[in-house]
Parts: sequence; C-alpha cells; structure tokens
Amino acid sequence: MDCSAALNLFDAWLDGELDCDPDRGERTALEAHLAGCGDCRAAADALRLEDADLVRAFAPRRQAAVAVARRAMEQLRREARPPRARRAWSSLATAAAAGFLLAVGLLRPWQRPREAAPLLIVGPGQRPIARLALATGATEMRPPEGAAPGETPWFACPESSSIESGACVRTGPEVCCELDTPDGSQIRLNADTEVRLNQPRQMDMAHGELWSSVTFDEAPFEIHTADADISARRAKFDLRCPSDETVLTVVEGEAMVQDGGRTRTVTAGEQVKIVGGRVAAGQVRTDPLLDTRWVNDLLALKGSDDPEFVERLNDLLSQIGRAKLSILYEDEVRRLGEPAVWPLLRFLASSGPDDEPKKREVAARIVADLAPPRAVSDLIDLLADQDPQVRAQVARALERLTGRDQGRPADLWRGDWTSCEPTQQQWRQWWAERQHRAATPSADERPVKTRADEPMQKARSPTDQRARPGKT
Amino acid sequence: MTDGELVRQTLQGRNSAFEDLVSRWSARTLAFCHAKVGRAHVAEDLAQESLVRSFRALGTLAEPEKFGPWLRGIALRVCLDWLKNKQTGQVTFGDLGGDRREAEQFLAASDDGPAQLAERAEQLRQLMSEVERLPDELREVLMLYYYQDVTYRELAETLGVSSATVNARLTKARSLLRERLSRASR
Repeated sequence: MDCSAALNLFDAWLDGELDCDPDRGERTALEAHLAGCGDCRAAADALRLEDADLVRAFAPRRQAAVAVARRAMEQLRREARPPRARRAWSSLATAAAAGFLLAVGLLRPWQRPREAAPLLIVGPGQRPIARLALATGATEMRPPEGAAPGETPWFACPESSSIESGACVRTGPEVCCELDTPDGSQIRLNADTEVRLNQPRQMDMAHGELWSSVTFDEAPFEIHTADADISARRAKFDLRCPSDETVLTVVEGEAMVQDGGRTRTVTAGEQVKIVGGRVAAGQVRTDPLLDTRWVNDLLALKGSDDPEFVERLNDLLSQIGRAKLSILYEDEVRRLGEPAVWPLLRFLASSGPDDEPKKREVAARIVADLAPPRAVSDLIDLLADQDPQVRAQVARALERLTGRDQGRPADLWRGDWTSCEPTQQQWRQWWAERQHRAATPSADERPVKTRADEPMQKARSPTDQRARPGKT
Repeated sequence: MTDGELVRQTLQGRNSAFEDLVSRWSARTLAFCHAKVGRAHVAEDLAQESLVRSFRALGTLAEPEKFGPWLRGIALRVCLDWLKNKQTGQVTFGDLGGDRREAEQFLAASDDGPAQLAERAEQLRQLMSEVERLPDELREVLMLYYYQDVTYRELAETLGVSSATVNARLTKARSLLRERLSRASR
C-alpha cells in the first residue's frame, strides 16, 4: 500500500468502518503501512486529534439533543391539559389517528401531582445511622430536633461526623461527599444535593444527585423523592432530581421503582425517568461510566489503593479504543489525576505490545501527561517497551519531567529498538547518579507489578490527594 | 421495536411509544436542523417544534416504517419557515456566545486552570463555527455523525446515499476543517 492509498482509508479506519469488511484486508494493510511510514502516522495522529476535538465540541450538543426530547414531551403534555384539569395526551394520539382533534371523554390524568417529599417528618429516634466519610469541601448538617424547616440552623459537618436519624445533610456548589452506613452501604452526594436520613436504609432526597451502593439486606434500602419511590436490596444506582422529575440509572444489580401502583424493576445499564410517581420514559440503555462520572472526584480522593478506584479505572480503560467516544473515557481517566498514573504504569509494565495496543498507547499518553517526578525510575524501565508508540510517549514524559532527552528526542524512540537501547543505558546511568537526590516513593508506595490479566489490583498511591476540589 | 411498531402503538394511545420515538430521533432531528440553520440554539427550538408537529400529524403518516424520512421532511419545512421569516442579520440574545458558554461548562469538568479553559473553549467554539460554515452536504453528514453514535450504513440510510458517499463526505468535511483551522491559526 502506498501513502496515497493509505490516506484515502484514514477516515474510515479511524471511524472503525474498516473492521466491517475484514475480508478485504484493508485494515491490516493500512496498519502495516502506518507502522513503517512516519509521515502517514503523523497524518493519522492529526486526524485522530481532530476527531477528538469534534467529539468534545459536540458533547454539549448531544446533551442538548436529550434536552430537546424532554422539552418536546413536556410541551405535548402541557398542550394536552385543559385549563383546569389535566387530561391524558394519549387521547390526542387517538385523535391524531383520526386526523382531527376531538373533545375527549374518559380523561385520565397523565401526571398525578404529588407533594414534594417532606424534609422534616417525625423520626423514629435519635441515633447515629451514618457517618460522613469523605468530602471534597464544606458539607452541612441539620439536626433532627423536631423543628420545622428553616428554624433549625445548618451546621458545618466535618469528616467523620456521625449523623443522627432524622438529620438532613446537604452539599454546596462544587462539593461532593460520601456517607457510610452501619450496614456497609455508601451514599454519595453530588454538588447542591440535600437528603434527609430518616432511619437505617431509608432516606428522602429533596434535590440534587446521589449515588448509592447498597449492601444486601432483607429490608430494602429506600429512597423517596418528590416524584419517585425507589428501593433496592443490593445494587449500585444513581438518582438525579432535576426540576419535576427523577432520573434513575442502575449501574449494578437492580432497583425497584413504583410506577402508578405497580412495581417496575430496573436492571444494570438501564435508565428510567419518573414524573409524578409514574415512569415517564421507557427503560433506555445508558452508559453508567459517563452518567456517573461525578463520583470520580471522590474516588480520586481515595487514591489508587482503593479497590473501587482501580475498578473504575479498569472500566474506563476497557472502553478506550472500542467506542467512538473513547476520547471522553480518556478524559475521565485524566480527571482521576495522579493516582491513576501508578496503575497505568503497572499495566504498561505487565502487558506486552500485542495486549490491546490501542489501550496501551492511550495509557502511555496519559502517563506522559500526568506522571510525577517520582515516576522517573519506572519510566526509564519502560523505555525498553517493545511498542515504539509507548516508548515515544515515555520519552516525552521524561523530557517533561527532567527537561532533557539524552540526545534522542521522543519521536526517535519510534525507531528500531537497537538504535534506542544505548540511550536507555544513558538514562539509567544518569538516574543512578542522581536518584539519591530525588524523593522516591517507599517500597510499599511503588507500583507493584502483577500479571497482565490482573492489571490493576494491587497498585498503591504515594500521594494524599485530599486537597483536590470537587467538580460536578 | 421498529419505528413502524412505535408509530402504530402511539396511534393506539400508548404514550411511552412516542416518547421512545422522540428519544430515538431527537439527536438526528437536532443535527438536521442545526445543519440547515447553522445556529445551535435556534436549532434546538426548531427540532422541538418538529417533534411536536410530528406527533400532531402522526395520523397522516401513510407508511409508519418511514417515520424517519417523514420527520426529516417536517424538520425541513420548519427550518425553511424559520429561514424565510428571520430578519436578515438579526441574532437573538440567546445566540450570542451560546456555544462558547456551553463549551466552557463542559470543559469546566477538567482540571485545567481558568486561562487554559478559556483558550480551550475558544478553540472548540472556533471549530464548531467552522463546522457551521461547511458546504451544506458536508455539514449535514458531519453533524449527523457527531450528534450521536451512528455507523456509515445507518447514516447512508438516513440520507438516502451509499456508505461510500458518506465516507467521502466525512473525509472531505474533516479535511476542509483542518485546512481552514490551520489557515486561521497562522
């Protein structure tokens, strides 16, 4: 294949469309050409960057499309209501079928308005039912002492505070927090969220967004919002309350939602919208990783020795190279910050060039951008990686961290290994002369190498990231 | 469930069937309107109007399986009406800087400082602005492609062209964008 033929295939290759016809062998031929042609590789890189920018530029537009769908349905519901009573717009569908509108009898309300969930109801007693485990900023609590809303002031709630039955907890802008409960469940509150913890495994949510990781118990874990009653025995789910609706996204297990007197089961990967106690939108498949990305800020605080952090990082990485939106997953890995570097380094060290090369390249690119000076020694080891793309990214990281390239710029590390090897030796020597001056992580802080099929199970974080501000 | 089945269920009074249709088609309708009028926020109103009109007129749809092309026809009329009625050169207040604000809000989820965020948002705004200036048929295919996850084949069916044509138009659109953006940055 020559450069001109390769150029014609770049877009389809990038879009994953060459995979559709493996018999023609175009993909294999193109990738072989790219491996040996620096100019074409540079052109493909430019195209990949452009595609990533387009995905980012269109990300808000995709959200706008969801909002358009919601507004269209709201408009139809509004139009279907007479001035004094609500009536079903379903009747309009029948009328539309006939081609004209009729005054429709037998009207049933599409939405039965419900009172907002009362924030202060009588609690069963005052005993700790949760603990504020983690927060990215100021979190407040209002004690339960039988007062009406507005009369009892809110107090600052430092980490490790116990929360009594009947107390309310709220977060401000750009702050998220995590509550632990005695049964082992976790509740995370996103920014601008308020909940009331009525009793063990039962709470009201006034507004905002929360994540629940519910451990098994015969008694269901219940959350009530103005629009919805949700329960689960063992599940992970996200609950969002924008105006006049509740959106439930189940990440793991299943949750039950009340739908006009019936109980509907929502399973992992599904999302439903609940309006006025009824499921208003069908169960649509969703991407929990992106839908719940706000919890990444809390996970980043926990650091890379937290199993959930590692699991999240693995899940994000597993999407890279597969989905058209893989750049968004890459962005999320970056948002995990420096704690992500150690598991990524270990993944690179413990896998070979044939193990998901795309994922390794992305991992190397992220490492090149985020690695701290403590990683220099591991980076020098990785200069011997068999994949030239990984070597080039690692060399870029070393250039960034040390301000030197030992006479071999990052691009040249894409060349034959035999020509690179002497420079790696120079790096080793350079480091041997200086490492005593550098602060290196202690043995138990360094990334631990394990098998490639368990790429991120034992990583340790050398840093305390608790100062990282929260994002929504 | 096919579009045709959802249309028939809607006509029988099942509300959620039309909601499913709207979920399925809102991104493509918005992409189409955006491509036609070249203004993101105006396009949102027009796409909403198109979806609402499609519900009102659903009883007149002769072939329920062709809901998509039929909805596209409605969106085209809605856009043409707007283009005909709009006063030349008048930009609504909501249009001013909308894309930039939007890009900034999206990027605010990153760890960059305010200066980098502003610069990055400006780059994305410029990119979207160049997308909006692409020739009609390139703009349409590019917007349809990036507004939602679709394959070349699905795009080809939506547009009534071949997959090879979709590939050629996307390639041309991206190439033109690179050329214009690199010229602008010089």
